[in-house]
Amino acid sequence: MLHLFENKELLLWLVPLAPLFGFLINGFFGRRMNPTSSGGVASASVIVAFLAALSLFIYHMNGQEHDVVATSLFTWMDVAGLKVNMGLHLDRLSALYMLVITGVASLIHIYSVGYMSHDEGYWRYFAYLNLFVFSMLMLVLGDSLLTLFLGWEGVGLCSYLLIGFWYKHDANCNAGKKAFIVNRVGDFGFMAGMFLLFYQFGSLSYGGDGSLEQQVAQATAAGALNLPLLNLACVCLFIGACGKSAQIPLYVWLPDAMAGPTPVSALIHAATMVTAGIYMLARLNFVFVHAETAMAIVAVTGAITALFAGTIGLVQRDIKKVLAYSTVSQLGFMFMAAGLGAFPVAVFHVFTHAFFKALLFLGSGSVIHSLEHTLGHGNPDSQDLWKMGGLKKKMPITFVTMTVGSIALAGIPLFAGFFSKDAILYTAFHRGDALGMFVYFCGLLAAICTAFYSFRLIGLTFFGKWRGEEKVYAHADESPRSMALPLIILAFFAVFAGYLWLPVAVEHLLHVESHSFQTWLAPIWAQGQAALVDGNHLKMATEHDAAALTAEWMTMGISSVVAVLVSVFAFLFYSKPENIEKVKTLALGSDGKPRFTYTLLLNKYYVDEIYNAVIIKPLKALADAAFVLVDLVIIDLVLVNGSAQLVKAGSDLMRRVQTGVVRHYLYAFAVGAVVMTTLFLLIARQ
Amino acid sequence: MLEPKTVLFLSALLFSAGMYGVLSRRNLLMLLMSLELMLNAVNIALVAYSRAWAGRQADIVGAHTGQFFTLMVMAVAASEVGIGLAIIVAIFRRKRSADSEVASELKN
Repeated sequence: MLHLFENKELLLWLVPLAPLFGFLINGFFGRRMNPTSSGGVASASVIVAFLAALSLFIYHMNGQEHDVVATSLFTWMDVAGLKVNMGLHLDRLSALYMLVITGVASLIHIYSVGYMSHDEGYWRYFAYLNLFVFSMLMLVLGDSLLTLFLGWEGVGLCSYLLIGFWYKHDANCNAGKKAFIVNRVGDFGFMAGMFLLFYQFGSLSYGGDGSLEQQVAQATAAGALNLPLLNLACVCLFIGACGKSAQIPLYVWLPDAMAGPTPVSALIHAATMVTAGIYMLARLNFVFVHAETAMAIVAVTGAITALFAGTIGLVQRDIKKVLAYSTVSQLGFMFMAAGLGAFPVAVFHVFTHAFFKALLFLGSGSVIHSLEHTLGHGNPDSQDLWKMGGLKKKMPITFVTMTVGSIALAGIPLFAGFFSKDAILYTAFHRGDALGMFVYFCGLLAAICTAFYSFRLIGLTFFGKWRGEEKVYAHADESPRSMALPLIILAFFAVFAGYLWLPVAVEHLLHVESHSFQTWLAPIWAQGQAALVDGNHLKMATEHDAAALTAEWMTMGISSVVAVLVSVFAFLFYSKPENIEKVKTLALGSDGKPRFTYTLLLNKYYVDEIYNAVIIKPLKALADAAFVLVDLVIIDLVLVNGSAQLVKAGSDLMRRVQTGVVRHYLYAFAVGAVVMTTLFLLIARQ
Repeated sequence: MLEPKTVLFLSALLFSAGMYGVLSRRNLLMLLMSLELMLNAVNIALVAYSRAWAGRQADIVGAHTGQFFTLMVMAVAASEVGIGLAIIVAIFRRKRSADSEVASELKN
């Protein structure tokens, strides 16, 4: 049995294939299985994947050398110089993602067993969820950009299926469609980027001979990089990342995606799928470091998104919408880091964010689940922050774990979010130029928003007086153990995940050398960093001088003081029952109408409306015109009905020949015979 | 000795008479009779040709093809009359008339 663990390839294939197997079982036989076995199969398959991932990590990925496990099943396509294998490539970056995905997915599967227990589409839900885990693992483990794209589309499909999971409500289906269509826009960019990369380097695979890394390295060494084209390719790829990772201008689908079941929001729309864009950037870091313009675009987009979504999150009433905008904002932070060339920091934030954001979503799911007992499924009141309050006594575990999650999200020192977010802000500050400062201030303001809405959420949900119907409060109760356990485990990581990479300044102070996260991932960035000349802003600092240490202390100090102050203020304000009324009047201006800024934020800067007017309406008009002109007129009227009418008119004319009188036929026959004979004789004579 | 030309003239005469009958009569029985007339006109022509070409053909089968064919036509005509009369009787039963123009269900 033990030698099984030594077969790395087998173990590696087990990771994605176990969830696929679970999907097939649930997909084919789920309808006939009882809910317990359906949920059991799904959870077991993901846990098997997690155990396989864990043993791979423990046995094969912890050496001093950069271990890579590569395996290929068959050649997927081999055309005109493009050879793509159906293969897996496990290096430290994909190992990290693999662990986070399978780990968080295992917890969320267990949680879902309780959360979805009353749902009629139980088996369908688990089948989709398993398919999602499979696709996501293919995305991170695939050994070329095309296998990545396979997973990329797969997760998009699962996201669509799960957002519209409760398909009986139109709004849910529309949210699913919106997610799918907006993602298609991004996918177009991604594909264009892939084409451009292939055009330039003739390869899409990583690891091994003739891989993209080698081609880029050769081109760099020969000084043959076509920088404008490379920038264009990177911008295209970033558009793809914008779609999947919900950045301006393609973020609009993510808040609507909250129509899906809450564990789905936790897994797909917070912890894993939406970070696929960061994964892609980190995976291609050796390409992106050469494209400075594209990187600046990435950083600015990330910064603007972080701030923009953060401000919208301030006033949302729906508990899941707050978290959704918070996710968009945090993804913006990750892109900020990636755009400034600090890929390890971006990945670190992905890592910590996966835990505390999944925790917050699962916690909100726990609250919703408990309120839905009385309110009934799908009642919007169960998510309305204004109709909650004082739940801390009713749901102690949810309360404690969610508070831990909020502290981590708000960036309060010693919790996971602080370390990763501060690393991002420091990176921006340390850069020192205009771009760095712009990103830093956007990030700092976004961090203030984050702290505010995190504790507004806690205050409104768990403190103060209950503001909804009495009987709902009476029946509110702590969620079952299968839901509480994942919350506790995630809360543990929300506290301690950040300690894997302490800030350099803290290490200096404590005289420790941790850096474990960064050192472990270092081989991933080695090639890209080596190609950069000193003084390039995208080159990561390896040594910290005294000035850098002071700067780090300063940014850390500023962000922690700000985070703590804003958090405390928001918490104190929103936890007092009497303040709730005050908030309502605060939102009103002197003339009694809602203030402009308030309506602007509440309506999310009218972005959906603007998109509707600028893009969707003209497209719809075009589609309507095409429908009338092409479908109705050309196809229906001219081609289909026209040809039928022509045949009908012709046959109407021709059928008169059929008089039904035998004599007429005989006449025709006789005349025909005479004509034929005459002709025959005439021809025969010549 | 009859000239073939004379016989062919008779055949053409009979054929034309039959054709006139087919085209002008409305009674189905008359129609059938006229058809027979046409068939037999052809028979006469076949026999006449056979006689006329008998001396020129080397093999005996080739020399008598026309006469064999006549027998064939007579057999086919007999069966045709059998079926034709049956159809006429059936039409008469349904329509109480042997007029060819009453059976016009296939119009248009």
